[in-house]
Amino acid sequence: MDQREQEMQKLAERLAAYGLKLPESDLAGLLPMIAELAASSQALRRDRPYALEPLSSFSLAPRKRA
Amino acid sequence: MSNDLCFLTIAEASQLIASRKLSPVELTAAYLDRIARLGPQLNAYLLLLGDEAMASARAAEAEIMQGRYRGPLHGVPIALKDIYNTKGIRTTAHSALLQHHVPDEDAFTAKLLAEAGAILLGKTATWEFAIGGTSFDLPWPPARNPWNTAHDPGGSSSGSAAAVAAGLAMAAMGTDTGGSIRGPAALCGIAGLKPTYGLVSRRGILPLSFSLDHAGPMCWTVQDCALMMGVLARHDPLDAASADVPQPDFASVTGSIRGLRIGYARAMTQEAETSADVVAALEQALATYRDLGAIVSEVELAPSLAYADVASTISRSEGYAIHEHALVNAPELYGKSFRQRIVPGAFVRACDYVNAMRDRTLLVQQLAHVMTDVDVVVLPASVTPAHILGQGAPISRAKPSFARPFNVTGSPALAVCSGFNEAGLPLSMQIVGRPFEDHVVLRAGHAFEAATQFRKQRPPLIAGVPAAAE
Repeated sequence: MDQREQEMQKLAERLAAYGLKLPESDLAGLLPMIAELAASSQALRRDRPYALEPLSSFSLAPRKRA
Repeated sequence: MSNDLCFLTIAEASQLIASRKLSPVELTAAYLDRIARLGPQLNAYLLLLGDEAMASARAAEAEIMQGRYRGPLHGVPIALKDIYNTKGIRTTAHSALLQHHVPDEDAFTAKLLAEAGAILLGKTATWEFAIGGTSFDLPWPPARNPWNTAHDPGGSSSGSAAAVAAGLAMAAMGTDTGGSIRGPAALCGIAGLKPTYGLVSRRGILPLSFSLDHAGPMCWTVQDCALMMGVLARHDPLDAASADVPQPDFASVTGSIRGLRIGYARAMTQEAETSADVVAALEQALATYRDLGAIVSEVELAPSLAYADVASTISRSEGYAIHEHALVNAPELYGKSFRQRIVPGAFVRACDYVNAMRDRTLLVQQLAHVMTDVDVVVLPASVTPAHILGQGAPISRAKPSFARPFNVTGSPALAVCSGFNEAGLPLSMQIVGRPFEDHVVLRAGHAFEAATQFRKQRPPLIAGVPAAAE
């Protein structure tokens, strides 16, 4: 099994772990899309000063009804 | 004569209708006739509602004749992107998954438009669930660009843009999660507004990404977008993101822009290797703005990659959450391109999503700071003119988008036709404003349209010419 086939098999297994069984013809196109999104996520990982929080919060502030 | 009616703007038609010089029945019949003749070239509609439209037009005419004129959309033929739920009318998201889906309730905006007296001509083509890209493995073919049917109309509101540009609807509704109103508006040479996040309800519209989805109008002119917004901008207590704010002053959009402070995002424009014709048209537009008395300076936004990383992480996570159940249980009912775009969201960690939301807040604050010195920011709406149908590369970290930053910030953002290239394809610029200053954005867009001639040129469609080969 060459490296490409191994990557495909590994991807199929990762998908299966989430209950996803996609057509084999999807896999080659999926690999770069997953890598692209992983790079975005990676770029967001860095130290953030605590003083900046809370930047994302849940609110129960009353809302006026129309 | 019927073609001429189909090239009226809402502003023009509504005056004629209000003064009883134009019958909604005659107008609707003209559109249905034009759709029958030219529709097969464009595939803009997934579902045409001819009988229903004529019945609505007759009802509108009767009301108007009785002195019960409802306003500028009364008797105006429009279309809805086929992710807007319509009561008793098939709503498919251009997907086999919902091929037979008939909602039992209208989207909030569909209801508002119907109450305003608009005539629904039909449901328009879209990328599958507003993300799938131009696809050829779905139950219906993709829409085509009316300026050259071998070219792509952009997406995801592809059919809405194609229909408006071709005179197959006077206005259409789109949705915009990462540029899906502004992109197709740009490639089809029309005006398209992504309103401020929360100004227009998304309830009853099939979701893609709850915190990035926006609904908005697509029209031939900016002034028509303002007329649509006068109906659409309403608080909806059942859309958690809907803002309970006073409606922006849409009647002011025809006013002067003398003294308006315009910031040109030159660095972001150059960063994307924007095509020379798009840049040239934009710089000519800035010269027009100076002639109109606006004050043009340069502004620096965060790098587009910073927006892209936030937008991708959020949209794919939220999108995958929405579609996971169906993807696990019936993946074959989606197209291949949809699956490839949405499934990567399965692998985003929860902490990455949270980090994206944290950075999003910073990007909102950064843009707010920039906009203390300018009233609007101008940059291209699209990196290039329309590409060949189905051959556009998906947005990637290496190929940034000018549209997605303003889904991240929720800012009002408008695509306006800024000219045509040598091949006759439209070029477009984008005007971005402060939250809930949609009227300022529209005023800037309208002033440009009024000062230039680009609204006088329509696509050269000829009845009977079949669609270009795939």
